[in-house]
Amino acid sequence: MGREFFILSYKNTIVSGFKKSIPVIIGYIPIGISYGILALNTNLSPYLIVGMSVFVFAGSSQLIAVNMLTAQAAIIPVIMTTFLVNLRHILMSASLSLHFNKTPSKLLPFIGFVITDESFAIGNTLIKERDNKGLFFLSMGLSAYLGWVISSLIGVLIGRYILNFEIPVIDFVLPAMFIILLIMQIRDKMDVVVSIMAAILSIIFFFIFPGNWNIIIATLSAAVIGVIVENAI
Amino acid sequence: MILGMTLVTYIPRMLPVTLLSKVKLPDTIISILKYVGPAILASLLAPALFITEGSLNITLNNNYLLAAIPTFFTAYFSRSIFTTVFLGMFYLYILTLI
Repeated sequence: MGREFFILSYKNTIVSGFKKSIPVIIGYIPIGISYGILALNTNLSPYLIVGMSVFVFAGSSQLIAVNMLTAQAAIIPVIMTTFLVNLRHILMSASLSLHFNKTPSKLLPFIGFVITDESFAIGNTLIKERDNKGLFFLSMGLSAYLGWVISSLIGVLIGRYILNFEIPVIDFVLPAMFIILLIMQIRDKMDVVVSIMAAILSIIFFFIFPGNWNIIIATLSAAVIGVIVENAI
Repeated sequence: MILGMTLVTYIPRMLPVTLLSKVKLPDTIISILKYVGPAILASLLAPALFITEGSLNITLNNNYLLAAIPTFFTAYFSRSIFTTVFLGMFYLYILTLI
């Protein structure tokens, strides 16, 4: 029975990972499509737009990058902002690593690639009571990844071949997504205080520093002030 | 640019899980990193809502700012990206009709 049992068990794990990715994919579809259309409206090449989804695979960073490129930002601030936006994945990655002590080392670099806010949120709540934790997470993450790439491809195709429409509300996808992602980050009162501080600083620095540096400087200032206040209390 | 973006998104999420984080970071660094999530999203959001065509706009003509209010409540209660993004666009659409 041994070998067949394990093959069946792997198969079940993969199928169940796929099933758990479905709500994530449903969330990715409108954002991926909007991303494709939005990016096309800024005259980026279709290959660059889909290529970003294939290689970068970071929804918020890609939307931000597109936003910054529209505002004629330089490449270094785009990469720096991408880095800071995704810095939180360090903590998600470190926290997920607690579950993968029995996972083959070969799988870990692939698991790392599919860590997103969404896969982390789902993985962190569902992974505990499972066998083959690594395989489950990888299956869920890879399904979501394919959903993201296909959604942005559809967005590009819609924008390029079907309609060249400009719906003003599409531009609100980005602020609306920041709102929900911000809400998801808030755990306590200090997070609220730091967020308000960062928001005010970001607006002030917008008028002082060129090229979107306001985002990086406001974030680091607010985070450092937050820690100082926290230690003072 | 894509290569740079790929590296800066892949390395932070791959390294800790691969190294199983056996190194313990100083507490201060951990505290700062903990605030980077909310701080950076607030830094990104604020200019998008408060700045229209390069200048500060805190008026009733700022539809993004007005639409953001129900969108915040939607995000808070739904905790869903999908619901928030769709209803957010709907609120803005209603405001453009008024």
